[in-house]
Amino acid sequence: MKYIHWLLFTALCGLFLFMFLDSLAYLFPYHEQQNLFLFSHAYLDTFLSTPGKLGEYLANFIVQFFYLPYTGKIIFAFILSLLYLFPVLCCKQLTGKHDPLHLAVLPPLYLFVQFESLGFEISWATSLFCCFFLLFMLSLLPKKIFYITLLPFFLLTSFALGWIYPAIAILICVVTLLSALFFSRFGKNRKIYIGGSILCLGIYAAGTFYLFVYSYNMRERLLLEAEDHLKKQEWEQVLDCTRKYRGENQLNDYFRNMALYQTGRMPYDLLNYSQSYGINSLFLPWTGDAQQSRYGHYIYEQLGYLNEAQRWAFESLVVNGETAPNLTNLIRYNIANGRPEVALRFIRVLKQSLFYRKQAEEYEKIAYTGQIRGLKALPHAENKKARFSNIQNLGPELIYICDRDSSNQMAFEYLMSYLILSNRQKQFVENLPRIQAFSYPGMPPLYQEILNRYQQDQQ
Amino acid sequence: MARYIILYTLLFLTACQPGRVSPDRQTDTSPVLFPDYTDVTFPCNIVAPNFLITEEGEAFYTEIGSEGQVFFSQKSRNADVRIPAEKWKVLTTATAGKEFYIRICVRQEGKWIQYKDIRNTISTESVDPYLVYRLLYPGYELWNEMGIYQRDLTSYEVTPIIENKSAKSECMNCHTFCRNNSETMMLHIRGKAGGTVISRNGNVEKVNIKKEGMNNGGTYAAWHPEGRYIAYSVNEIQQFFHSTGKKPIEVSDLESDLIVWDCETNQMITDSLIYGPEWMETFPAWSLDGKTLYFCRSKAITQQTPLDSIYYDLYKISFDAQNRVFGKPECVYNASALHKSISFPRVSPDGNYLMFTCSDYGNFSIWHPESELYLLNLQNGNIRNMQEVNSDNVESFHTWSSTGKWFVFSSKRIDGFWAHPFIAFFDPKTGIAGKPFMVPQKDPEFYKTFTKTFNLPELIINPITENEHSLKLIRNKLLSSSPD
Repeated sequence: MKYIHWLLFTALCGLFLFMFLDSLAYLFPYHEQQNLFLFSHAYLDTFLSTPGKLGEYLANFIVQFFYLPYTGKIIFAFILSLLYLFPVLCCKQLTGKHDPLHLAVLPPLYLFVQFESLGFEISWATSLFCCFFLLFMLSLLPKKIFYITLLPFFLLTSFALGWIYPAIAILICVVTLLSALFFSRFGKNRKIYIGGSILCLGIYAAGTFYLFVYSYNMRERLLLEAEDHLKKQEWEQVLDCTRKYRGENQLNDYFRNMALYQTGRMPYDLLNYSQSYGINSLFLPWTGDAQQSRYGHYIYEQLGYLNEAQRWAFESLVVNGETAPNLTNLIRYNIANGRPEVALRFIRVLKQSLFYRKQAEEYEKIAYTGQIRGLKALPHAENKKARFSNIQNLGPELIYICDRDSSNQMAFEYLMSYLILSNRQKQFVENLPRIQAFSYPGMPPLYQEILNRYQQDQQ
Repeated sequence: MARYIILYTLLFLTACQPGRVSPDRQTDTSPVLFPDYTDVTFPCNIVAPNFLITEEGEAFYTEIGSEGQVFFSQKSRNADVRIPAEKWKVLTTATAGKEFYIRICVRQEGKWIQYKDIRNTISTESVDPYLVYRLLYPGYELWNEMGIYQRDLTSYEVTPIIENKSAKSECMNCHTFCRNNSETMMLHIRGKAGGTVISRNGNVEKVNIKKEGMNNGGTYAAWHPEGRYIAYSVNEIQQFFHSTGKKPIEVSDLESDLIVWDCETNQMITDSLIYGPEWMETFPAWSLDGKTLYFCRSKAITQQTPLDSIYYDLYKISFDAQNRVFGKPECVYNASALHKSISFPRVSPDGNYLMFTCSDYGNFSIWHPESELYLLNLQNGNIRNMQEVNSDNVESFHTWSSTGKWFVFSSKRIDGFWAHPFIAFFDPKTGIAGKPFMVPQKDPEFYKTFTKTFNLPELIINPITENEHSLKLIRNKLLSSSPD
């Protein structure tokens, strides 16, 4: 029983790590893409200038390691588990006793369940970790000094991290301490002690399991995984995720249709899936919705309609800040659009990060070439009358792209899909001859069927 | 013993000085600095203009001095030069009204190369010590983090006046001061919970500059010199996004008119001559005596009007403040005849000049690379392109300092995308400006990595933070959802 806390700590570590590598693995890339930690004075200053923001700085420092497949998960599992170990060690140091109820196990379990939510702030874990760590270090001092330093500890950590964190840390330590003092008397009876401990741990485990399953959002997971695969251009996996999705979701349809095109199945399988949002399953019309701002650029990038992709990326920068995807998108679009000076400013920011530095240096080398692999901007005719985008409706833009670049197969298939979903048979038939620019093995059955139907209607 | 102490002290002190460099070679070319602080006139109260030497080299030696006196020297492997505040203070005091030099040597392949000295001037004139601007990411419609900030130009201190860090909150725009004085100012916030906060000598009021029957609310504002009236343009603005090419956006008014707001009675004054469907009037600016209102005017447009055929001329109309009546509009500069368009007229504090932005069409000059600053001499009617301050990229929003000896303006000359504040000296006698310089920052690389754009820079003589009570009221009223 002497080392039960080490055993529990190891078990927690193992459990968290297993879940992070399995059921919760999808959350790590999401968090990593929300923040970009920069090694610069200016970045640090933004956190130091406001009291209580240091916890966020530490959280962002940790989150950058989520970029790596294992390291970030190990670090975070370790931090969460230490939230149990530190108060226990602190209690042992101060009283020489263990808490038989193992109350200190509750905060890491609570945070673990909370982590399932996308809105969870990692700074909760890092700030509490700092407080517990400092408390533990102070507990190594003589008791009298420990109690004297509690107030300065509270004031300092309140200023640096926010008052709530040291308050919670002290509260947990006090509760653990009282529990240890009060219940340890039952420890003399080994059976009662073990039985009580097992019962408590069983209740905690059952409660955590229930809350975990209750809070688990499979649809959210599938969407995040689909987007992650989309970024990596793993189109079969995107299709797989979107297929598993239960219910209606515009973003799911949007991702799936992209994957359908990329896997060459759009003209064949478009109507084999529910297109619940009609033409809006193909793109995200601009509604000024801040939440959508990070997704709109995908379709335009693939269509080679870079001005519109760039517009979405800038809007996403406004809403989500200087995150790695925002910066890399803006770098790529500005290089491809012949604005190297603009790209370079974003490159300089990206170079201050740990894991994107090399990528930024690669972009720096090619900034003035105007060439980005996989990106081709629609050619601009200098002397022609200016044309402005229709940001509400993709249809006119698809016709424009097809007119400007008849070899753009994606624009063609999207145009056909757009006309099918909007039930414009006449326009569909009028635009069908564009198919001759592409080498289909034969007329796709879906297109043939609509053509036949139209011809029958005409007769 | 005392002799040794003096000797050791001297040895110690000289050891602290970076050793002077004996150049192996001299070159006639000037070194390139970022920001470009060459041939510039600085106000005597400006903070040290730290810079970066953009020449390639293994080591860098910088010496700043005047008339044989060296005020600052630095030998470093780093190319950034940060001038200590106290040394800069000594320099500005000693060289006020004179030139000083920046001597730069760069070690390349083991040899020191001395570049041609850079010559700058410290003016005896000080600039208004505070610069107020809006900072935002260069987006188009959404906003998340946005704020109005006050920069102390005599130090690097930046104070947030009001920040909006919530996507639900509304967009803040247009801060305007009466005669560069923060005691009489106006701030506006858009949206349903928005409104205009007017602060006059400690009295803070939130008003709605949009009355029933009006299509649009107050947008661009100008304080009457007496501080009682504010002229507003009421605009309906729309954005248009280019399908291809480097230019991302066009912004155009679909409608605009002028009104004058009486801050004492909270009443609106206008006239069919400046409020009606036939013309679009915008960007009001008062003359020194407050008897004339300058503005930009274009023919009203239809949906078919091509954006590149909208031209704004410079107009003026007389205003009788006592009887609250307008005269008849008169054209001051018929820019449309030259296929040019005018925005942001600003009368100098002595009333002798009017500075404006001139572009090829439209009035949203911040997205027009060709837009440049022009100067109209109100005494003789001469108009000239201010080539001494213009660049091959955007020059747009500008305001005079309270003395009229300096002005600040937005320029996108660094990379064509982000607007930065530039300050330039102005000689009211000759009407000639000096070479503009970027507002100094503590980190010389600041402008290379900062991804927010500086918007609407305005110089003020006293800090907004001086009157804490007013500022608190302004913040509360601006962020409250109550219309009043």
